[in-house]
Amino acid sequence: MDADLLLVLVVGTALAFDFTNGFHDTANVVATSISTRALRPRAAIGLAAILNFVGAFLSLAVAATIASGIVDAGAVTQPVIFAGLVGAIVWNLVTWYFGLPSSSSHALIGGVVGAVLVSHGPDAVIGEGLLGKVIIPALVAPVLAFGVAGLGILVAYRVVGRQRPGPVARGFRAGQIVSGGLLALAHGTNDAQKTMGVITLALVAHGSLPAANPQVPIWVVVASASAIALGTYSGGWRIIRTMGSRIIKMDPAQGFVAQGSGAAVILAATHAGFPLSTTHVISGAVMGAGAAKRLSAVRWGLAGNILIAWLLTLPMAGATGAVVYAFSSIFGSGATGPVIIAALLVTGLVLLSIVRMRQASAMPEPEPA
Amino acid sequence: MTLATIVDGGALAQVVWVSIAAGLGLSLIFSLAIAGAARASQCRRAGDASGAVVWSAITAICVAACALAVVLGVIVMLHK
Repeated sequence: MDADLLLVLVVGTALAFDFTNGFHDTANVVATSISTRALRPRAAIGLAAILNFVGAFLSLAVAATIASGIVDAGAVTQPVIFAGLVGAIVWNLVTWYFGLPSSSSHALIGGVVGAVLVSHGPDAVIGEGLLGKVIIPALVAPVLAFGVAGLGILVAYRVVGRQRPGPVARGFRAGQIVSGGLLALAHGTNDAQKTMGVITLALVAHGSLPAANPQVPIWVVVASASAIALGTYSGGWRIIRTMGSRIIKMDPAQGFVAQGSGAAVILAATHAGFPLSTTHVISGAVMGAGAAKRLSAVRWGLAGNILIAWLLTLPMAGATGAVVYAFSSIFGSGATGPVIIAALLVTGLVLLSIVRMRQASAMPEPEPA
Repeated sequence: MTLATIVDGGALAQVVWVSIAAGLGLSLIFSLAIAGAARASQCRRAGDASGAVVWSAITAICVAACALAVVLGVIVMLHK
C-alpha cells in the first residue's frame, strides 16, 4: 500500500515537474518570435505547445536512469527521486518568479544530487560525472551560442544590408516561425523524455516494470507529452519578457539568427551526444545576436543576474532536495513524509497561483510592441 | 584525473565546429534567400526579366537548402 502511494506521488510530482519545465522553458522557444512580431503571443505559445507534444513522441530512446553517471545508480531510490523532483520544482518556481531563465535539467540533477548526499553520503556522488556532464557543458553552451549567433548576425547584416528594411523584416519573421518550431520540437524531444525516464525508473523500483530493458508504457509517453505541452501553453510570461525584450530589444534578423544558431548548437550537441542545456544555449545566442550589433544593446546587469541564477541552480536545487529528503526520512522510509511534503507543495502552489492571478489581472499579457 | 578523462574532447570539438558551420551556414543561406527575393522584386519592377529569373533561382535554391537543414535537424532528433 505504502509502495503504491509512493509510486503515485513520484509519478504526480514528475508530471508536475514536467509542467513547470514546459512553462519555465517556453520562453526559450517563443520569446524572440513574440518580441519581433513574427507571431502573436498566444499563437507562438500554442505552436510551441503542439510541437513540444509532438517532439515528445519523436524518439523514445529514454535512458531509464536520471542523473546517470553523476550519482551511483543504486542510490537513486523512489524517495530520492521524489526529493530531487521537489527541489527542481521549487527552484523552477523561484527563478520563474524573478523572471530568470535557468536550466530545468540542472535543477533536477541538483535536486537528486542533494538528496543522494543526505541518503548515501558524498561517496555516492561521482565528481567527474558532475564536472564533465553538467559544469563544463554549462560553461561551453552559452559561450559557443554567443559566438555563433554573434558571427551569424554580422553575416546576415552584411548580406541584407542594402535591401529595403520592410521585405527583409518580413522574410526574417517568416524564418522565425520555422526556427522557433524547430527549437520547440527539440525541447519536447529532450525534456519530456527526462520525465519519461523518471517515471519509468519509479515503475521499475515499484516492480511494475522489469529491471532488465524496461519499455516505456504508452500512458507514460502520453502523460509526459501532455504535461509539458500544457505547461508550455500556460506560458511563463515573466521569463518571456526577460528573454524577448529585457536582455536586448531584438529586430527580426537578430531573432532569426538567435533561434537558428541556438537550434544549430543544440542539434550539433544532440548529434555528438554532448549534454547542453537548451536554456543556456538560447540565452547565450540572444546575448550574442545583441552584442554583435552593439555591445551596449545588451543589458549586462540583467545578464549578470541570469549568470548568478545559473551558478545557483545546482547548489540551491541540491539544498532543497537535501532538506526535503531529510524531512521526509523523519517519518520513516514509507509514504508518510512524501505525502506531507506533497501537501505542503500543493498548498504553496495554490497560494502562488492566487498571487499570480492577482498580478495577471493587474498586468495584461504582453502584446507585440 | 585530468580534464581529458572527464570531458569527451572529440565530442566537444565536433559540437564546436558543427555548431559554427551550421549556425553561420543557416544565417548566410537564409539571408541570401531574403536578399535574392528582394533583388528579384527590384529586377521585375525595373523590367529586367533575366535578372529576376536569376535572383528568383538563387532564392529558390537557398530556401530549398534551408528546408533541407530543417529536415536534417529533425533526422538528428529522430536518431539521437
